[in-house]
Amino acid sequence: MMGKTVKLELKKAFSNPWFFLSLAVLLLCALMSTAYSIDSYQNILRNGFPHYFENGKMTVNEYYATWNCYQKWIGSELVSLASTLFFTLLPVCAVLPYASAFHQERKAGYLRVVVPQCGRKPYFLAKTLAVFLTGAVVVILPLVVNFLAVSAFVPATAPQVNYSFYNYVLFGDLWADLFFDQPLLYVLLYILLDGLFGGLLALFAFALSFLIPNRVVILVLPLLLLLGLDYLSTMAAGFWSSTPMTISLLDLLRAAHNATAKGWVVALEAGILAVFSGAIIWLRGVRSEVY
Amino acid sequence: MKFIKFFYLDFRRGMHTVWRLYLCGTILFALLCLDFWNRSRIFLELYPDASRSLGDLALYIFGGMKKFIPTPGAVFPFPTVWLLVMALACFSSLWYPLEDLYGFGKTLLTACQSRKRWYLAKAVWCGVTVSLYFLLGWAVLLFGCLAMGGKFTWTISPYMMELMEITDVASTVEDWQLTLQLTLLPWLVAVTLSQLQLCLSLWMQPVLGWVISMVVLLSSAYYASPFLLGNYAMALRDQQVLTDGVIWQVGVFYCMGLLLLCVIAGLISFQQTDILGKEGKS
Repeated sequence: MMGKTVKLELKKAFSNPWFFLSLAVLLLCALMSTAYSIDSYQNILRNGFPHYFENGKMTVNEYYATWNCYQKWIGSELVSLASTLFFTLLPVCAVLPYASAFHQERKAGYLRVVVPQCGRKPYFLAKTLAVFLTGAVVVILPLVVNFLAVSAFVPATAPQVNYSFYNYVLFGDLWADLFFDQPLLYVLLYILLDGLFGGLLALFAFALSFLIPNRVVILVLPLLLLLGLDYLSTMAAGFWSSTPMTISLLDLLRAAHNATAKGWVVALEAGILAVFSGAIIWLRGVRSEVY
Repeated sequence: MKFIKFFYLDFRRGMHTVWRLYLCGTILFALLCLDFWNRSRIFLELYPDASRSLGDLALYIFGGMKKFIPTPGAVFPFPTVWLLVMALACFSSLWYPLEDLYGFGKTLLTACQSRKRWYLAKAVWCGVTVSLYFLLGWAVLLFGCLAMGGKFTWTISPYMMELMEITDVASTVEDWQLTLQLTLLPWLVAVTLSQLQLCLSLWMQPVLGWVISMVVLLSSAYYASPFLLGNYAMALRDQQVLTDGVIWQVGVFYCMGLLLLCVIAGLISFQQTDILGKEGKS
């Protein structure tokens, strides 16, 4: 019964129009960022690089080493509107596909039909898996498409530590050493991290549906909370005199940051989201009556 | 049923749904006052003759951001303060109209037999909700200015240029007259966006209307273009501050025109909306 329930939930999750809409929005942002990066690189290739070298020696330092695919993919590119839109709309697009499905099923009475058939635990576990996976996939796919497209046009030269001012990967940042030693692994880890948080944010919205009766609020609240956290991060930076550390998830999900991105902050925020969502789903879902 | 009675019912029932948002808005504006007090402290120590003013506080919150020039190696400075204030304003009127349509509002609609009155009551409710949000915000700002010993003037202090990281300006700080740009325009832009959201909610889910508002606001922060509505809500994009900046009078006409267009489009569209069918498709 568990297998059938999981299969049914996954089918409902991945075939609903909201999944495709969210995917389309993030893909559009990813492709816009790709176009920006490729266009910028082609521009500097035509108008810049031919003038930087004379007899094989660099005569003008125009940050040649910063033009690589590991710094021009959407995760590391901090210039274009597309990358800003991608990471700002990520919380909404991750929750839109399937996070409010439970809320709708409970409201429509479908819950009272399906739960007696399959049981509470299989239903909620299958729902949790489907919500998490849709949130993760809707984020991962555009990132992969973007990196593959950028790497087809921009060279895969290794980032250099003496350009750290332009890398925006600071000493002490999460996986900073990997960025210089194994940049491809760094990119893959960040794609997975973003997917993980996409799934966790979707689960967070799923948990909110036990507490908030309004679907619109459930879908919008994750982004509003992240904007609030972003503000608290800048506000806290104003009180510190040393190099600020960011606690904003909107910043931490990017592979390049304006402030120090600590691994323990990322782990803590992931832990809080996971524990809160898991606890609510378990206590208010699995351990409660649906009637 | 008379329109005023319609609106009164909406006001009473709608307020029950937004009081928590107003509470969050109050806390946000209070935090913004505290944040401004902390950031301006350094400049008051550097410039002993300087003092805080209501205009400085308002510029910090409603100023937005300076024009961004994308160059390789540059970083787009996300306008968190401004975006959060405007996002909450747009969110305040988002869910009640459609929630009412699926619930008690359907009964009222059939009782009064006037779709126009229903829609107009909702449009006015959206405008009033956003207005109350800004009124509350301004009340907190006035109290905050009083608490930090600031002057109740609209003059912008010279240190604000360093605080807001503005370098190239169209005129000197002392000549800036930004009262309407800081009070009227942000409110008007938010009201216009709320009407746009209400109109769009007839054709799509309300959350998508809010996403469109966010895209408009973020695009406005990125591009200093008079065609992007959000520029008029940022005092730092005014022609007094930014060379080739926006003109506030144009902003007022733009907002009024778009607002009227949204209300008319919504009225026409709502005449044909299948209310019962809509409830089933969520």
